[in-house]
Amino acid sequence: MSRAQLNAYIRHSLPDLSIEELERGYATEGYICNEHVTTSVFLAQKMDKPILVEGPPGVGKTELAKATAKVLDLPFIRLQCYEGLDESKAIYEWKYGKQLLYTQVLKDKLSGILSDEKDLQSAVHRLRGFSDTFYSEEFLEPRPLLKALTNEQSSVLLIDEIDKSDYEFEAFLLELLSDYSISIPEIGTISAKATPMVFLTSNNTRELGDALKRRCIHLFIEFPDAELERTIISSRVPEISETLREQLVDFVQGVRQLELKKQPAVSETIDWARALLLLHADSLDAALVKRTLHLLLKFRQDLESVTPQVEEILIKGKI
Amino acid sequence: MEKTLHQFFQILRRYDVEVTTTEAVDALQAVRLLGYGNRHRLKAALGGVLAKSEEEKSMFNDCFEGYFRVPEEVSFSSGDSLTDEDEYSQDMQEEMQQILETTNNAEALNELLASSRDSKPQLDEAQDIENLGVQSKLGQILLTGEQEEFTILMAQAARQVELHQLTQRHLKGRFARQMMIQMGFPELETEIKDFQQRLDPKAKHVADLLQQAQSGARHQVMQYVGQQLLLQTGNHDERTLERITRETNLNDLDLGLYDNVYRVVQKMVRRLLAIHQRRKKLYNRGQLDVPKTLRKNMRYDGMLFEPYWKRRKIDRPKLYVLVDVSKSVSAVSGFLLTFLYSLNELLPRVRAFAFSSELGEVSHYFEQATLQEAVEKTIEEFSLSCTDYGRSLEDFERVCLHELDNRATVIILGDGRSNHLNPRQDILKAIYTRAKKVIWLNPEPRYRWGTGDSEMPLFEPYCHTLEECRTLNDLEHVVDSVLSQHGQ
Repeated sequence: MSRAQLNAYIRHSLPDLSIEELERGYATEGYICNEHVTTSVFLAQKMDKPILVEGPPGVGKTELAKATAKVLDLPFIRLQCYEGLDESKAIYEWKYGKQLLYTQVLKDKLSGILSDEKDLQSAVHRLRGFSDTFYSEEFLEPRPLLKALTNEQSSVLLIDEIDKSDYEFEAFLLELLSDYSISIPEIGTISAKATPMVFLTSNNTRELGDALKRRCIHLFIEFPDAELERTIISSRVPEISETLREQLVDFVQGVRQLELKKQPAVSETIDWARALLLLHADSLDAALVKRTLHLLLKFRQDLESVTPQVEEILIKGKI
Repeated sequence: MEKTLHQFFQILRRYDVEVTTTEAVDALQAVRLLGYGNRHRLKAALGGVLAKSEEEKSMFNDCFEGYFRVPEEVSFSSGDSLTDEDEYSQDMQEEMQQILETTNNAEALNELLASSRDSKPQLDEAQDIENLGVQSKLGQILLTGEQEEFTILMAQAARQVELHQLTQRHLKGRFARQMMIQMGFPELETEIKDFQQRLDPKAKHVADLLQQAQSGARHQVMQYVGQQLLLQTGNHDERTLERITRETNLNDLDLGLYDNVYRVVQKMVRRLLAIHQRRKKLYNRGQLDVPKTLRKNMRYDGMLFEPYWKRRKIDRPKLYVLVDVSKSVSAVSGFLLTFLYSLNELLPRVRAFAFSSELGEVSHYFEQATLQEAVEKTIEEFSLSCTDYGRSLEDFERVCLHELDNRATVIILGDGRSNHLNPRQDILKAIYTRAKKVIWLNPEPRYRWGTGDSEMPLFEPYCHTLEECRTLNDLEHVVDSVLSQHGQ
């Protein structure tokens, strides 16, 4: 199969959904997002490009990858990045134990096979005739990235928190992200059987390299506006009353206007909504908010600065 | 449409959003996939492919809003090849309608259209415009009050006169005139005169209407050209601005433009981070440790499966920064601190001290507040009294001298002018003996060192490095060399 044919084959191996279909799919999976997100996923799927998702923690970057896997009905492979992650943990590793056994077996067999050779030279010559299996795919232990490439079926590959990994690892990824192939020095290049849909997420703890950025479609997910957040809450916590939902979202939106160490994320709004539901609350009042504020704010300084302003934020929300 | 997009890329580049060839190809592919039907999607797609950081994203948004803007200056069409004119116009109208529905300007435009529709009854009175024989295309468009068609005509003219080449203000009038010629203003002018000369009162009425519409149209063309000029040149061409900001004496910079300066600083910081992070990592892994490799591979019958690399413990350097915040030096001091604290990924242990007559630690400001606030607080708190190097060094000696060791680098930023008070260079000598490196940065030009109350000649022997430091470029150079030393 020529390269062009291979590319054509690869291109068709991903499901082909329109933006509207994606939107519906995400809604069914309970992942509520704006058109910006679906457009980016649509383009990534059509252009065979990875998506680099950036944004503050808790806006649903990882969720997006998971939801996409469900919507496209593809297997989900995840690689969590951290400092010190290298190719042996992310791409492949040799099965040393098996290789060792193989050399033992080889040693035993070889003495029998080569015993009738007269001298060393002819023995070496004969040895060259055997195929070299020591470094072959048989002894290769695939890690997430290689797994995503060797899968017969397309998959959704999530490379989570890429900004936590080292620069070297970022460089390893370049080949994978542009050509969907990986070079293993002992074997050669392994190309994707079916192109995976790749999501990379970053919290911007460090600046990513230009080379990596160039290969991706960028998606910045910001905190949702009040309307979108209301929809999210009603989808994730459907039991909540309308009044409470309105008040809760307005309050969270109000808190996000303040200068805080960590702004409350969508996941925290959801947690808070669930907690309020457990407490059988119908509406928000200052006392209830103060009692449960720690579900929304995770830093002591933030709690201290927001608590005195609770009444004010609630009133503003009403207006 | 490709030409339009290419012009858009040019504008982005001018606004410091790097658009490489690959990205341009990707953007074209994305647009081909999505079409121009939905403005939101178009913006999302182009933004996704072209803008690579939050900063670029906001720049992209501004450019997109400015370039793909309605109603007066729809540049969707400004550079298009109109090979299939009719079909194109139809598409364009559809596009326009969709854009109108989504754009912020929709309301304004709708009002405009409504008002032009209001003027229709007058025309309906002269229902027989055609009978009156308004021949020119422009005249017909103006009388029917179709804003979309007028916009298309204007955009076509812009393409024909190559308006995207307009980069100088004094050429604005010339381009506008050329555009008007292309749009058929001269023909309209003749026609108006012709109508005025007729005796028919209806013809006179039409002439009046045409004249009124013509002056409105002229105004729109001028406005369109003006906006295009602004977009093409940007009254703040980012690169020129950056160059000037980098090279200007920090004391002369207008701190009202702090955001601009800060943006340049952030860019420099990113560059430094990119260079030095890699260097740190290279340094991280040492050579092959043969004895340990052999020992580790004993269990494999001596086969060397797992190499063992020598690892050196990364030396976390300690950095002490002493900045003079008296009036003449405070701007440079502020930006030095901004630089160092922006590099906290590489320099996690920076301790900052500010002084004029007394010295105090200000590190906590930088941990709690934003950089700008911390700098302001520091300057506000310490800049009031007159400079006394001797006393400030005494304060530092008391607080920190015992902590200094061969991992510590001390950076002092000041003009060395101690108001003829005892400079206590002996304390600097003690610092010089204990620390790995003492770097003195002086915002004054070298020829002024030692004049008047400057004590630089006394301090000079006890500094490893002594440099002039007035501009952002100087600061970058200094910080770069500090980082390089830590990488060695």
